[in-house]
Amino acid sequence: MCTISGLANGTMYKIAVRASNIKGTGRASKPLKVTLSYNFADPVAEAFDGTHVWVLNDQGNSVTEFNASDGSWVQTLGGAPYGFDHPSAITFDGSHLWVTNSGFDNSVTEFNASGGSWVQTLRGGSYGFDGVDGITYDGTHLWATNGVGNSVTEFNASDGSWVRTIQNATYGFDSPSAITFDGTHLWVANSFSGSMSAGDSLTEINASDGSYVQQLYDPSTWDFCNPTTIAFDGTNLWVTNECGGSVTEFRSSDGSFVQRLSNNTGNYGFASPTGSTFDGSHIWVTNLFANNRMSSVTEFNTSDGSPVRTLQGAPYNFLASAAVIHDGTHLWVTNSAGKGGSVTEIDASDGSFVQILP
Amino acid sequence: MTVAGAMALPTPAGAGGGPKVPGKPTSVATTLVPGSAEVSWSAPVNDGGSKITGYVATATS
Repeated sequence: MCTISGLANGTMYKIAVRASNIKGTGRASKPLKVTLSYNFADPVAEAFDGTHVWVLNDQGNSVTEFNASDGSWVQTLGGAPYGFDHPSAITFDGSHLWVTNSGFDNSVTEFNASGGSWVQTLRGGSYGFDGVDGITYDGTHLWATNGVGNSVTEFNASDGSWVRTIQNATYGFDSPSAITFDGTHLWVANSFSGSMSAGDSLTEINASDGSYVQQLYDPSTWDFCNPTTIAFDGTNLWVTNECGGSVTEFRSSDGSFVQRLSNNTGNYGFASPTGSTFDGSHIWVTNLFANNRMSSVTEFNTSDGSPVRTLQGAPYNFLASAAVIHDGTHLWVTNSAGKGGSVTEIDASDGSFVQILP
Repeated sequence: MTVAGAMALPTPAGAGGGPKVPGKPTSVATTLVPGSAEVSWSAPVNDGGSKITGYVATATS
């Protein structure tokens, strides 16, 4: 590892490495094209640590950090020792960030939110990471879903030590992806072997001991269809159904059904709803394919599910928008297509456009 | 413009048997911060029959 200094911000560079031995210097490695900036490359997920936003670049195998206050770039982490390999999900535990690597590496990377220094990369052993996908924090432990292994791994946030891997038919895990903590229990989205069809489910787990609580499955009630994210508003949970073009609301207290929002019940403009976040009173949903390749963002009230607005077109320029997070006042939407990708900032108070990064 | 960084390794005391230059390093990756790039890589599969003595990383705009 070495550092190349004296580079100009915003400039694209080709990075290459040559090895030498007693005979001489060998040929250069395949050049790596990087821009000394955000360097987004298929941004698919993000987290907010209280002051900064961290964006996962699926194709770049990297993580971009920027200031939430003004969007200014801080750094882009990649390479050794982080070992990012198609990073899929990220969560913040109060001081550190944890990233699932869904590539062949099947690992979880931990690094400091302050400065971004690497802490450790968990892999192998008892963790049982296999197609590791979603991750959430329950206050002391982390829980990661294994989409290929059909299991859920629990480990300590304090030192990364393994606690348990749940792989039991009772839980009904089937290509588990998203996972959300509601204060006492965990909710896992099962996308039915990854197929884009109805009949998917959610599994509820007790966070205190990993015990099974229930599975929300009955298609006549739930009709989950590739559930991609689960947003918690403090009382109820909201599930985006990507292939169903709907959002399902249910109570966290007992899992009882409340309502299903769709374009038949209101002017939501849902189209492959994929990402979601809660801003304190409203839910914001990204619609991956709203109009051809263009995406949109829907806002609705959590009090009654009524639609507020749907944002689309210029100046937002949502494009293959997968993720959205709230930083307290603003929203940040990842656009995973178009010259590597971008991030759009929105004012949560009125949905007004702020800026697009870069 | 080309900017370079280097990492030297200890030179072996001797090498016999007609070594060749090493192959290409692989898995080149970076951590980017304003003004600089920290570059990491994996050693070439083929060391040319002699221990690797160093690496040079370049950034060309």
